[in-house]
Amino acid sequence: MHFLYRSHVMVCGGTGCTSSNSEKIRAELDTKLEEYGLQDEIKVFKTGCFGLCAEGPIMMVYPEGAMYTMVKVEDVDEIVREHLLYGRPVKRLLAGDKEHMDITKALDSVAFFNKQMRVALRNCGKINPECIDEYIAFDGYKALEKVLTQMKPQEVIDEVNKSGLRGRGGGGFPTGLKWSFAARQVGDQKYVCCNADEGDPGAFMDRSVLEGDPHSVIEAMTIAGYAIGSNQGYVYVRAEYPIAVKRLDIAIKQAREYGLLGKNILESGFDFDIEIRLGAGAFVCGEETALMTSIEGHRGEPRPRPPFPAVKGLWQKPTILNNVETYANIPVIFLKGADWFSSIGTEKSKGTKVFALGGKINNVGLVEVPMGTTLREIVYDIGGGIPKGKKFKAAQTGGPSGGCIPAEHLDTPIDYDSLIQLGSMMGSGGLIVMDEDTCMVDIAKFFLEFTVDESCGKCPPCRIGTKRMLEILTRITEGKGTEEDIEKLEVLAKNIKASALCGLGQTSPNPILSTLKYFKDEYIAHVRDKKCPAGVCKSMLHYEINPEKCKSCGICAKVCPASCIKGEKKVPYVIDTDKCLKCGACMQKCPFGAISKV
Amino acid sequence: MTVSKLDQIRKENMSKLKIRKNQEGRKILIGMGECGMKAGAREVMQGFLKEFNANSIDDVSVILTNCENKCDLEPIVHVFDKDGTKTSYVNVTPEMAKEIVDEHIIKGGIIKKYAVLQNVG
Repeated sequence: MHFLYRSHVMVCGGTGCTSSNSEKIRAELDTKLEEYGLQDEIKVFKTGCFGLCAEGPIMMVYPEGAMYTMVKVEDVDEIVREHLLYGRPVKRLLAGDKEHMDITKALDSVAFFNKQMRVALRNCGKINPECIDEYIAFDGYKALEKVLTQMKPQEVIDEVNKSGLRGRGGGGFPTGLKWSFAARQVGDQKYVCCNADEGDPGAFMDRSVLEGDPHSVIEAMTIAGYAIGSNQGYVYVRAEYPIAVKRLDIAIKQAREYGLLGKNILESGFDFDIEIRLGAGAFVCGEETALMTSIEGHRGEPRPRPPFPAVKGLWQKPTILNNVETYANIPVIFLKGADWFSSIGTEKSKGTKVFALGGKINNVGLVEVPMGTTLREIVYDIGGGIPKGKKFKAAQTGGPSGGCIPAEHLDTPIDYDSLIQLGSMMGSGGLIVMDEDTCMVDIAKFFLEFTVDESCGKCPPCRIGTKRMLEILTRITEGKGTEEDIEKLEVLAKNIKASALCGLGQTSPNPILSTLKYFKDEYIAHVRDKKCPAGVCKSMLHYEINPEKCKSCGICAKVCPASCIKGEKKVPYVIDTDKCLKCGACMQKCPFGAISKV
Repeated sequence: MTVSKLDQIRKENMSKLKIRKNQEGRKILIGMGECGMKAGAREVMQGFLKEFNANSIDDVSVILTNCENKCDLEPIVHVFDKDGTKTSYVNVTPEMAKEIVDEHIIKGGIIKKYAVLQNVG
């Protein structure tokens, strides 16, 4: 049995790749390696997210650094025999420049990778997240070692302050400042909490960090505990993330076994431990006060602030709550220094930000870029643009609390403040791209449906107000809206913003306000002309057959589920619009392009 | 857990995982393919691996390549030093592999009696 292998094969074990069979691929790799007698030379590992989720399952072969994408179980035999036994990489599955002479350079020219900068995701796709030794080898727990052996708690806070790190969960509050508030409190018990209740539709960066690098969060929370004088941490994570929960649980157990959690960590006299609390997946539990109420065992509802958690948080004790991605940055700040960290990004937003790209974009996945990268670079260079060459219309950031950014602002450098100025917000980093076929009123309605569904019901502005807004939006999309409705929406939105109890309620009108700001003409077209310009809102469109193009083949009549298309040979077919369900099946099937939406 | 114990764990495991970082460092390229394999390239490669393990050499990547159309010279081994200098050895045997590791890789001297080509990178 060799101690050093000649090749490591890393297979993504994130949620995305796992759901496309990466576990079977790993098992098949082990089987085939043994079949070809390579098991003592090559080792297969499970790893975290590489980010290119659209092309999963992903496999990386070291030492070459050759990446295979969209691997199927049936491809494994070829990869093992050709690449690993004979030294002939399987070009058809290679990511990047398939024809490059040197496969170690195949990825160099791929914008998806070379425009990124991985800080929070540094270990995702590099290490086996279920092995603490691998984390330690890649400088894991070195920051904790430095903090516990060389720094005083105040120096730790100063360093975080100096780095300029701001909360990655949504609000963007300076992390060092938050820590200093809690450190200043005198008390017998303080708590360190981690918000892993990622609830924005389309965001999955926290899940990926927990799945790919759980020890970085444990290390950072321990550092935070030392800084504010706490010896107990809680990670609040949704039960809908089973892989993340399992890996975090394994990681906590390993850290305890190694004495990196528990009593007298690294002989410093400092004690710290972490427990996991599972949430049931309620959006409101991502709000800090509701999250803590839920940890206490009560129904997850927010409470007014002040008092802020730093003064009275979990069980009325001083508490800090940071997001997973925020924590993932902490060890790097101590390893490379606050000056290094603050040299990345813009004046007021330092470091990098992870975005979950979704919607109408080619490279759906997870990307990490320096703050200040423009939306255009993210969408077109890294994201690979919009499928089918469609036009970019807008991008939604910040999920249901955020807003949309239209095409004219594609060149805005993205940071906390520029997004606020545009009427959106960073949020946790979900970035949903919309193309020309998207109706902005329909999008606003989609987010409002989410908010109404997830409203906890404690305060009337959110419970009743969002419901009323949704009713108005529904009216508008059904072609029954009036211009007065638009005014009402605006007034309601402003009132809810001003009066809702928690951050989620206050920001719930944002999708409406920002679509009204940039796409008011679409609202007006809906209410005044009873037209949906994007052709999405069904009640306002009907299908028509162009008699000049129609060849009377009858295919449309055959596919029509409502049997509402009539015609005969040599006479153009006609749709009975009263009976039409507007399913669009006829338009898709017409071989002559004679049917269109009007 | 003590600081020195943690350091020791880090060093041991870093050595095992260097393979994932060492793309710019030293490497050996071994011609495999059908002809290489027929000429014993797998045994030669295993010879190298055995020596690397025996001497704890963790900073030399082992990369297999396809046939280079010089089939009667197989097994061919190209050794790349840190500065990119490439030295080619032909008709290598497992015994020669041990010599190449001892003399070239560990001591840094080219074995003139075997080397057929050298390109300074």
